Amino acid sequence: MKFFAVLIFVILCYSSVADAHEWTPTYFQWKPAYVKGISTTTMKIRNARKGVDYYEIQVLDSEMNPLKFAATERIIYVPYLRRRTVDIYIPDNSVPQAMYVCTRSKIRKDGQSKTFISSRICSKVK
Amino acid sequence: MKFISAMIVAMVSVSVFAEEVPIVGSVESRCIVITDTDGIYGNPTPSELSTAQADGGVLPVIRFDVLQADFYKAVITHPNGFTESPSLDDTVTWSGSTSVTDTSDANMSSYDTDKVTYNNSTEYDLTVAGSTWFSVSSEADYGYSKAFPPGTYRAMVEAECIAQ
Repeated sequence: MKFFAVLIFVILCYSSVADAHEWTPTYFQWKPAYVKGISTTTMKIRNARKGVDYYEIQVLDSEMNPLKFAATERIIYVPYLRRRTVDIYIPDNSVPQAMYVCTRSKIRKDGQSKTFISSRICSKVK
Repeated sequence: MKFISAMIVAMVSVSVFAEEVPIVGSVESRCIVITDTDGIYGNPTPSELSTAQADGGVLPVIRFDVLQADFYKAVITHPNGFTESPSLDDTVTWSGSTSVTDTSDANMSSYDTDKVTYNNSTEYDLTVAGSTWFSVSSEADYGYSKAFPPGTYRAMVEAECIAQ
C-alpha cells in the first residue's frame, strides 16, 4: 500500500509539473576553481513555468544578505521545459559566508507574464 | 529444414537483444515550486482589491513538492505593493495571509498550527515528504474609501523553498 502511495507521488511529481521551478542539488559544495583564489560550484535549473523564461542567480550568507559572485550571466535564460547547468564562482575568502545559492524567477515588465507568483529556491552549502 | 529453423530462431533472438536500451535514473532530494493557480484580484468596492472568492477574486495556489522530509522550509510572502498599477496618489493598506489548503499526506495536517508568521511572510517547516498546496489571500484598500483609478493592477506573491 505504501509502495503505491510513493508511486502515485512520484508520478504526480513528474507528470503534473506543468508550471514548476526546480534547482538542484539541495546541498552543494564549494570546490577550488581552475583560477587560484576562486571557488566554484555547479548547479542545475529546470524551468517548467509557462510565461517565465528568466531566473536570477543569488549567492547569500546565513542572514540571506547578497554576496559577490561571478557567473556567465546573473540573469539566465531558461526556456520553458529546458534545463541549464550553471557554474558559479566566488572568491575563496567568501566561502565561509556563502551559505545559500538561489534562483528567483523574473517577471517581465511588459505585462506578458500573467503570473501572480514569484518563486525562489535556495540550496545550502554542505 | 532444421538448419533454417535454427537460423530463424537465431535472427529473432539477435533482433530482440538489439532492442534492449538501458534507461538510468536517480532520485535526489529536491524541492519543486509549482504555480497551481494564478491569482486574480476582484474589485468588490471601488476602494478595495481582494483575492477572496466572495469578492470576485481568485486565490493564488502554490504547490511545494519535497522528495525528502526535513530538508526544506517554505516561506510564502503575500504582497505589500503593486508591481504594476496606474499612478496612485494616496496610500494603499495591505493585508493578507497564507494557509494550507490541501496535502498529499495526513501527517502534514499540523503545518498550519506550526507555521511562523512575521511581517507579511509565513514560514513552514516541510517535515513530511510529499505535496502541499498553499493558498494566499491578499487585500488592498486605497486611501480612506477612495476609488482605485482604472487600469491594470498586478502584485506578486513570493514563494521560497530554502534548504535547511
